[in-house]
Amino acid sequence: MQGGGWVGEGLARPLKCKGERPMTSYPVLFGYRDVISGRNFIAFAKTDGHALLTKEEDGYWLYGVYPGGIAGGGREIAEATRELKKSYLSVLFDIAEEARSFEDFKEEAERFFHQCNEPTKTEWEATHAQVKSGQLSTNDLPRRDAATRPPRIEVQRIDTYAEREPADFNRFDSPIELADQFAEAA
Amino acid sequence: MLDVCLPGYRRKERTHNWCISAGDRSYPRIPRDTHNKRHNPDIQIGHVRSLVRFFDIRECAESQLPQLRC
Repeated sequence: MQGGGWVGEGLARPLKCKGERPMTSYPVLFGYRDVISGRNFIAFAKTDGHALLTKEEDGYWLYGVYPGGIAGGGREIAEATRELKKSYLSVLFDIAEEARSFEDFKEEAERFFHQCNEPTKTEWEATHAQVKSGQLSTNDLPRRDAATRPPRIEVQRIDTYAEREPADFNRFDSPIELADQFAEAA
Repeated sequence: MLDVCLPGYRRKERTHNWCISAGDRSYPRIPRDTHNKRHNPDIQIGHVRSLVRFFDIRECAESQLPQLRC
């Protein structure tokens, strides 16, 4: 892939490009409350974030504003929402694995959250102005006053215990799977 | 693309993601997807778009990877 290099080589096959990028974008709020395990601590992370929901040619993408270093996509909004949460958790899991202490984890988690995606934030603010003025709306999402959910993260220690591998505890949700019964090995 | 548009960037392999750093900023979510073998095992283009916005390198990145324009 010309000009791809390391990142380009990993890209999925190109979308059908019509030259322009027809998109509708919406400013959204989200809130996560999660328990994260570290080597010798358990932390509770409470996050209120901002993201830009974009309808693209092959589905929807949520681009993080705060935190700015995540995104999630899917054919429907629900799938994009799940993928954004997974993105967020995967970063916290990575941070927890590397953290030598709760204080380390807290500092890095807060740093992760506060690194804003500035171009996306600019779009978010522009679309928020359109929503407030009535120029932009959607029936796909409930509405909330953004002033009641400013972007923030709060990380608290909720337990300390003997050292263990964080990977033993931190897990993503399991998707629903068809219940089957496999034949026993002969 | 990053070699051209984000010279001097650093990448760090973590359990779930590649973390891309430049200066004092880090983009922590380029999925390694070791745990998700569903229908799209490649890096989804939206993650790259988000990274490109994060480091404000859109114009250069789109010249290197035209599919980013869509």
